[in-house]
Amino acid sequence: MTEKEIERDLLADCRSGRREAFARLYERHQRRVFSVALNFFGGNRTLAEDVSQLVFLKIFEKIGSFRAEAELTTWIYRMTINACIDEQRRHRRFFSLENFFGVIRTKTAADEKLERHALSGEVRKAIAALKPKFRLPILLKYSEGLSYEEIARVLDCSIGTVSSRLNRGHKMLAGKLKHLKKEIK
Amino acid sequence: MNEKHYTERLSAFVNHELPKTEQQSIAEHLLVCAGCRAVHDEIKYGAALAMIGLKPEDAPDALWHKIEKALDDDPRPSVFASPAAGLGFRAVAAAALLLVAATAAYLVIRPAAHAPETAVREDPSPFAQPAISPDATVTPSANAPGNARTNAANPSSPPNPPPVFKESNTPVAPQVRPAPALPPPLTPAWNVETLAGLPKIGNSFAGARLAVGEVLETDANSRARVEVADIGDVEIAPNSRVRLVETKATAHRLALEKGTLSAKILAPPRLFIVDTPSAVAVDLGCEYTLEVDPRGNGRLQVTIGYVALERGGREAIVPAGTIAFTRKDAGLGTPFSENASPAFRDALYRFDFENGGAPALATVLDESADDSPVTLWHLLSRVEIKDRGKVFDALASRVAPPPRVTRAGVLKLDKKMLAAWWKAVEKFWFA
Repeated sequence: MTEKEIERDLLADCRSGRREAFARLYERHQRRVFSVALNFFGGNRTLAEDVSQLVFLKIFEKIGSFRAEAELTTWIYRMTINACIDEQRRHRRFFSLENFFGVIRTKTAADEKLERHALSGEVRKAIAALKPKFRLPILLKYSEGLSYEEIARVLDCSIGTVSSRLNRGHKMLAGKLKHLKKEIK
Repeated sequence: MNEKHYTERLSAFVNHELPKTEQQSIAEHLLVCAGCRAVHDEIKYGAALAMIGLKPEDAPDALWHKIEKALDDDPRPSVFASPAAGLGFRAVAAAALLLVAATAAYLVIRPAAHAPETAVREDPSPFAQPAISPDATVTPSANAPGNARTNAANPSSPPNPPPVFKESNTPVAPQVRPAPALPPPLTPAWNVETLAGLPKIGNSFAGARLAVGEVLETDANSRARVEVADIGDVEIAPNSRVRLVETKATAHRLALEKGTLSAKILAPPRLFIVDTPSAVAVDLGCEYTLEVDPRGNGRLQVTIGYVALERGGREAIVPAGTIAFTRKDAGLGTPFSENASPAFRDALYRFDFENGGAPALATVLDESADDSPVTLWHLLSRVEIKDRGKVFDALASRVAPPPRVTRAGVLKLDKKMLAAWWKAVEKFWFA
């Protein structure tokens, strides 16, 4: 059975509302969704989990209206990215409430562990501080390993735009972290 | 001068996203354009950072349980029921309570002079409106039980109902846990093609891949071709032994322990490196043959582009059309033209490796010809100061020192002057 056939069957099962089909779909795509969210939020696992949960619930809700002419993976990336952007917007808007409730920013043990890898943590934060239009191509390229063409499909823009944003994104990152140059070498 | 620059294409170049011909043009341009090379190095550094900072990761196991719980919390049988109909009483009550609490808290702590919507506009995201495509938009809100943190932080968004799914038509065992069962991460490896005989990888006959840490060995009757990631290939001659040391976007490294390899590389400078027992050969965009004898001594012959030989802080630049020897006990030899006379080669070898001293140097200078400037330029920094003037004169007679490159400065090994003169030597060499 080819990948496409497996996916087609899986979609049909999901559309019929079968729970184990959702489980299989989750299994196939959880890494993508969680990684994009985790890297989008600079390693914040709490936010990444929340967003991933919402994305999957939305996927299961919308799977019936998913049009098969688009690739399922592309559609899932789009869902994830939109959820991340919405979530970031919400967090900026209500930053004081986050602090008031004191939950969202609480670091998990895993976060602490991540931060011990100082270099990787610093880089991740610098990437998370880029504007989404530069951050997203970078994380789709280097975390997800997509080609420029695939990135263009996910972000619904031209390959030239992807190339130009990556050009600028790389330079911004290099500029922000030039003090790490010796360590990277 | 209408020189074409490529600064806007360099991220695509670094990521090997361009057609081969364009990759080749840019690689060649980078060898001669310091401006583009600086931008290239910056972008390559940015890419290396991104690779360090961004790692894909599996979602925690607990996430699926949360999702299942969200699905279980609404037992109604409709798959895609209308959202409003999907709210159970408890969900409505909980959402309403949260909404009241969050709104109250927000009203208490919001800046007095600003309406909430004023604060909203601080995010000029390029995706401010339908982020990517309207039908894909997800609004994380109160639609997931177990997501109270997010709900609480969002007083302006009334909680949406949870999506409702029909229970499975077939019974699902409660212990079904789709623990992400991804295959283990693959060890990076290069494709191997057998050209003759039966090359071996480790103790087995060579398969299709050479993984990091593995050794490929050929006997007297076998040969193989190895694809160097996507930047070129290396042919391994009979009686050779190579180990793949590392392969990543910023460096591809082989160790040639014995035998001969011929490399054809189309990549930015310093991306492909070969360790040998007597020196490190760093590709600067080229084709070359590298041999290592059973004692660990080496011979490099470059046919296109350049290779840098490095050892112990010393470097030799070996351009196309030249050869350089390396010795395990004595380091780097001086590059010389592949057309140099036997007398010139012998004398140079004695000078480099057999303590030939002044007599050997005298022969080198006497035998020098129009194809000797690369050798002479390298000798400037290799001879004793008392002999440097003679080398200066011999080189100046073949390639005039550029303006502002003075005899006094060169005798003191002024780096800027040596670099300027090297440029002139390069031009002469490739003319």
